[in-house]
Amino acid sequence: MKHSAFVDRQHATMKNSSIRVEILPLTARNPGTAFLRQEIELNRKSERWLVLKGFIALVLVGILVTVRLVFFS
Amino acid sequence: MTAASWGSTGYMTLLVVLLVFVAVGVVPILATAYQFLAIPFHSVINHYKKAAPYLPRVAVIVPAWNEGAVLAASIDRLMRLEYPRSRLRVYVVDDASTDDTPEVVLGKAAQYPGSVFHLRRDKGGEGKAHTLNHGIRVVLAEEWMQALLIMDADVIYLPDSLRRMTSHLADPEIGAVTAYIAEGSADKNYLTRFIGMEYVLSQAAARRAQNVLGALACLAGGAQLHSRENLLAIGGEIDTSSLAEDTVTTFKTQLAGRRVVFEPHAVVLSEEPQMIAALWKQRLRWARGNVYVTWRYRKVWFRPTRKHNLGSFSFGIFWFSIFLLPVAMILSSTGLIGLYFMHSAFAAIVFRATWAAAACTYVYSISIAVQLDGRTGRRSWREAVLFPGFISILIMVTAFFPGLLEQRIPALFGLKPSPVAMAVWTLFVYSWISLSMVGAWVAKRVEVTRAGRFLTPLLIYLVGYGPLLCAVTVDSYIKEFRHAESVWDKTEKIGRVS
Repeated sequence: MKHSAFVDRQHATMKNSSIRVEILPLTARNPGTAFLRQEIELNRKSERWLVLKGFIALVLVGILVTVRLVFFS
Repeated sequence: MTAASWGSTGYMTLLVVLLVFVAVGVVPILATAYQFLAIPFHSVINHYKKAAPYLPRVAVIVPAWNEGAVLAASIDRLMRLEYPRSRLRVYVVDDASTDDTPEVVLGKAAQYPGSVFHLRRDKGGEGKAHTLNHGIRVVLAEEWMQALLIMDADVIYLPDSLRRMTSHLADPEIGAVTAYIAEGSADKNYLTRFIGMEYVLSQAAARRAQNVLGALACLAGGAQLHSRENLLAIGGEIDTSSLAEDTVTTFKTQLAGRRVVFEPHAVVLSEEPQMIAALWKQRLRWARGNVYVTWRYRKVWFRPTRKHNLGSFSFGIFWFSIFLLPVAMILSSTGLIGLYFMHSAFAAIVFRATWAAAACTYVYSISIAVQLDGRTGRRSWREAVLFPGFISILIMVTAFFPGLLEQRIPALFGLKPSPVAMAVWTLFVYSWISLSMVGAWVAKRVEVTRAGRFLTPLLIYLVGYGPLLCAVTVDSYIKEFRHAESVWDKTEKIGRVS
């Protein structure tokens, strides 16, 4: 999000075959419906990282258990 | 151990009782594991699908008693929120302050005409809920307010936090939204770093899990946004009968049939105590409030209903795992020591299983927590690692890697512990979970001495921050048992949030 620019403009970048559109806020105080919708969507998508974070934490537990089983059983 | 003794009914009964004691101690560990394992499910079970762009007219109520040192900055930050100015009004409820609070607020009211209002209570000192109700009566008397934000005078809302919260109120099923309160002191010390880590665990992590399970334990007192409809549904006022008005409000909202949501991306910074004495006072208030809430909603626990999830089995287990954690710790120690004297080899197996489960839960929960708030995780990595305390970590190592500390490492130095030394060590290890609370209490007592500056942090790193909170909970039991007066002890804030 680029809060420095308060004009309504859109950036479109081609990435592979999909188009990603970044909507900038109309103004800081009233960013516009499209921007707010995008922000909610970004929040929702960012929560997907929780799966990876949980996996990493589980891997660490797995390493602990493996060390236990290999060297201390 | 003889066959005859095993056959004795009394012996077996005692053995089972002691095992049950240890099992009670395992419940909070499993509850924590379950809660933290639910966090990744927030990637799909969340409220974002029903959230929508929505900027209601928000009345912000700021209760203030002698907050002159922090109010000006708080109001300025509120006025800089990325939210339409015409849709935001700040009502500072001055609880008969004796400092320069009125002058500060009136100055800000002149600076932001039509946006900042000063409400004065002639009789103060009755507590936060009474102060809030004074403001709520004023804003409810007009039709203007569509949503009410309750905050503390010292907290700082990040610019985009309010609009992230209001988006959830677009769904009429949502009655209230809370934000992630992060520790934000500029001059951090060991205690504020521990508190920062605690907030990651209890909010960024646990409240996501509570979103998944559909029941929230508490709207943060400094960041709770209610729809007007919800405020009216819960009686148009905040409960004044307890020290836990925020938890009661959270329960009343959900019992009235509306949901409560935690928005992890709405961040609010708060100033937290740098001394154990101040933390103890604050947490004792919270813990005594929880005693009240537990009793008040005694007919809610473990009674599932379609209307809300407060009565679900999982939520009940979470609640009581925290509320009765000191009891579980003491029972666990008692069980292990009893088993040791009855059958030491069996006690060792039970001990290893219990503490190995604790070790796995600790590694998983801390690992996921530091990833949820990387900034706090990087700043407070020592406090994250030592959250349960250095001694508890040693005990986890003892349980998880049998023989490492007692035999292998001493053998490297040509040492072999005597049987007496081993017995003393074993009894210490089995009783540590209870002793750690005593250690935390000693840290509090030492803090006021000349050596406290160095000794108290050292003791807390050794015994852990978790046991410190458990010691406060024990104190709350004692105070409630003695029917000690419930006093609203305000936590001193001096504007350290950056």
